[in-house]
Amino acid sequence: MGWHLFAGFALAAEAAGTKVWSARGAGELVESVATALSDLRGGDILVPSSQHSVIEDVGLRQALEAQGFSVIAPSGLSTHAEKAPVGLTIVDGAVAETGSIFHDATDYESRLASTLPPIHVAVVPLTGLVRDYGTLFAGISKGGQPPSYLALITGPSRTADIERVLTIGVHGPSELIVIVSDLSFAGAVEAGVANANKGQRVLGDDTNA
Amino acid sequence: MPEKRLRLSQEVEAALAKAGLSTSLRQFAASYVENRGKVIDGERISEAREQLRLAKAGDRREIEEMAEQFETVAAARGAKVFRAGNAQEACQMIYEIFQEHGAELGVKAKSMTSEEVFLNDYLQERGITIWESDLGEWIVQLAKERPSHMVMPAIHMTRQEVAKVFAQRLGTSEALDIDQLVKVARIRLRQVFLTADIGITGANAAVAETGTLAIVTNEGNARLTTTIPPVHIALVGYDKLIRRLTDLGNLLGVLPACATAQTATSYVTMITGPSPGPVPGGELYIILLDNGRLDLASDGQFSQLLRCIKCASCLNVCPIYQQVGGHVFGHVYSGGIGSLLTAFVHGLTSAAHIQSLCSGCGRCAEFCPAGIDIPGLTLELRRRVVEEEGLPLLQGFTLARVVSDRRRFHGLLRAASRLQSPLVSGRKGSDKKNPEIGPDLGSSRQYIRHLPLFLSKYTKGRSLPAIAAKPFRDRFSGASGLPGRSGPSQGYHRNHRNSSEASKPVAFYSGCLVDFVYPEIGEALAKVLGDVGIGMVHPEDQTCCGAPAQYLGDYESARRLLKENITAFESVGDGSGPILTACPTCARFLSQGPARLLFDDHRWHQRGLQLAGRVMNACTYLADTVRASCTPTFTGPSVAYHDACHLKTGDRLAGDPPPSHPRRLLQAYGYRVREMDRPDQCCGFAGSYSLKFPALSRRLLEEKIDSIRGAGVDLLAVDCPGCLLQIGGGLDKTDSPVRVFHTLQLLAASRGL
Repeated sequence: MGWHLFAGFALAAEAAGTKVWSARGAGELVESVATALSDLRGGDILVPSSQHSVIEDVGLRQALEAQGFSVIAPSGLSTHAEKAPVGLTIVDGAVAETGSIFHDATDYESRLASTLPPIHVAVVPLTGLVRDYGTLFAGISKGGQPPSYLALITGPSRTADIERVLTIGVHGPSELIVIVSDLSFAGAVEAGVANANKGQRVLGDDTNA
Repeated sequence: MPEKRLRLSQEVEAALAKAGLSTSLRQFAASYVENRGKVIDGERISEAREQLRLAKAGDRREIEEMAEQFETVAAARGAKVFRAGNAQEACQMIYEIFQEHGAELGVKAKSMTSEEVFLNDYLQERGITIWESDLGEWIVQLAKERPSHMVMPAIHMTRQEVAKVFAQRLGTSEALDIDQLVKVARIRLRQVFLTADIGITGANAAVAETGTLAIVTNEGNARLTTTIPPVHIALVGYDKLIRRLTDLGNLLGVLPACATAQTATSYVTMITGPSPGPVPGGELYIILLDNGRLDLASDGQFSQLLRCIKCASCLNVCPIYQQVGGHVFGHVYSGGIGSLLTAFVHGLTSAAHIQSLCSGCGRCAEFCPAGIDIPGLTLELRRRVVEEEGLPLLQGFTLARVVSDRRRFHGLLRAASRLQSPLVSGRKGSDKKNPEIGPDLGSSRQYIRHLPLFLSKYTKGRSLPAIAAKPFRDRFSGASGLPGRSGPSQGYHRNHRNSSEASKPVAFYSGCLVDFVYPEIGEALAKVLGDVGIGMVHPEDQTCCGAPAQYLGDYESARRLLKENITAFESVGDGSGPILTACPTCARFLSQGPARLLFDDHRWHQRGLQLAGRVMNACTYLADTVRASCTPTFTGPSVAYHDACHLKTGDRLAGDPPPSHPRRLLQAYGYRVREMDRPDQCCGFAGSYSLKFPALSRRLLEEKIDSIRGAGVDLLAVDCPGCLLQIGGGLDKTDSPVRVFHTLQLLAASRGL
């Protein structure tokens, strides 16, 4: 698995209004998140509890805290969570043809973190990058029963309901930042999914073969 | 029924009078076609049609099996699945779920199915508050209106109107711009999401194999609706069932492209059983709704409607929708597909008056990704309406008593030709037109410009052509010097290149308009054919093709006329060889009619198919056989070409260019062909339609005249005498210097015939 699908993905995702970064190794990942959020002056960052240890392992949590952010879990619906400017999730993969990310969002916290704040940072493992819907859905089918809550996200929340004028950020984030990373995050994805969905994987094992 | 018809006409006129509505819908239509072309092509649409056919149920047995499978699998994943037979049952089930959970506030993501059962009204009458969360739906709810479009509910409103509604209902400033209005929605509805007890959605697909619901949105409201409230109710029509998860992948590839010209929408939410929420005891209820769908699945002709994915392509390209919007052209579901669905979910009576607005242009079918024959089914629906309610009195009388009796009808037309003289005048200002534009195109057309009293609306904006003093049938076989039934006459051999292959004469089906209003078109065809050594015969016993009767739902008359024509042409050319027409509507009806109208009578069906196989449009025939032997002898004037709705081939796909052969033919005869804006947009004639809805027809004509003016040409060519009548009348009324002719007339003129 390499970067050969990345250019296609980046092109399609940017066309849909997503900001796309690529990161090799933990160092670049930390650096790109920091740069992407450099306009903000701290505040809360919602990260699902199941992913806290992983972002600590790669040094991301420490870097964000050094930048003035507080990493919190969006447990429950306190106004606290609702007011956070950023949500960060490690998702399952992406679809090159459409520029979409896919996300087993069965974990309630991961849904809140990716939906409530105005900015959503999604970290996509390179190994989860697939060519098109055909590959994705064939993969999910092979994996048996799909997870309880599976999401495809393509760009920020948008509407054209008033005079067909495109307006960004209605109910969901107005900004979607995707960082494709060559780290495996096997622990994060497995832990998150296992936690919420009794061990079912989003993709069958041979999806990317 | 007459009162309802009157009300519909009034609604049409009111919608036409609403400033800005039609302009914004038309702008949308234009950009829709262009943008959609960038994300999906004809080939992909073909693929999608096949994929949807395989993904969805074909009949009642299949749909019940899929529902069974879906229910079993979804229940195994923890969903509570119910079946609702009708709107009342669905509403009651949902109300009971609210009661069971002690719920008072519901938030809803956009769901046409919930509109269909009038869920909000039902719950609100019982003290439950429901807020729509899709911006367009919320606006329409605040304005106390109904959605006018399946995908863009508030497309009929301007930003100022939205600001005004917000000001009245929410106390915001009347001067808010679109960005600010959207922010108001975000803030207000966020509070609703955070406090709602229950979230309600529909679904774009329900996967039988896995029990998965898929919900497609751009705003993210379905994500919040299904995440924050602890209880989720999904109301899903049986028609949303698809077989496999891989079918969902295909559906997601085509739905956003057709609905909003996007490669993908911002959010696709796929739910399989309940997910853990903020508190234990979260529930997922799925209600599978019948409400007429199982009857639809049992109906051999209409079951294809199950393939509809509610993308609204058909609305977006419909010339009638563009003029009047979805409130007039629709009930809950709007446009052509809307009238068909309405017939099953809200009954034939509700559908009867919507379907009468369809002009039969066929554009919807070109763009439908599910390959649904919307125009064909509209005719079938009309037939059923007529069967149930009878023909409106006047039309019924005319058709049954007059048109279907050839002698009587023709006698009446001859009498009309004599009686119309006080109303007829020559071509207005023909002297001031530049006569130097090319060949002699014949004498000025005579027009009826004003009809007295209540009939005046039929000549408002359009002059009507006068009925010819002598019909084609008399001129052709008479002493005009034209080649008669014996074959080509000497005078037409001049340019014949293949005299050794001097062919058998071809048969000509003139149709009423050519026979009685435009005999010169028939004469032009005889001359062009004679020019290359082909003779022409015109069987005297031919009669009206029956299309007008079928369009009005009078299948009995249509059948009788079709049989007469079958008999009239069987004796010509040993029952084989081409039958040419100069009217694409006649051609279409004679080719499709036998299969549609005579299938239950084996002998007539066989004879009808024989006829159908012989019929072709004269310009198509000429493009194939004559063009090669013709060398342009003059540099002709500039011509724009208007594509008649019924000349476009039935299987033309969205994104394909209009047919090129009439254009090539004109070029081969020396004309400089220049394209005008939207050459394939309906001119508004559509047979008796222009009499039923004169204001609507006039609006379409005005747009056509504008396009013609914009092209800056000397001439306009059309291949349909109906378009010729409509556009010719419009150009005459507006004193346009552009002159319109049938292609055949231009071909004859360029050869000096």
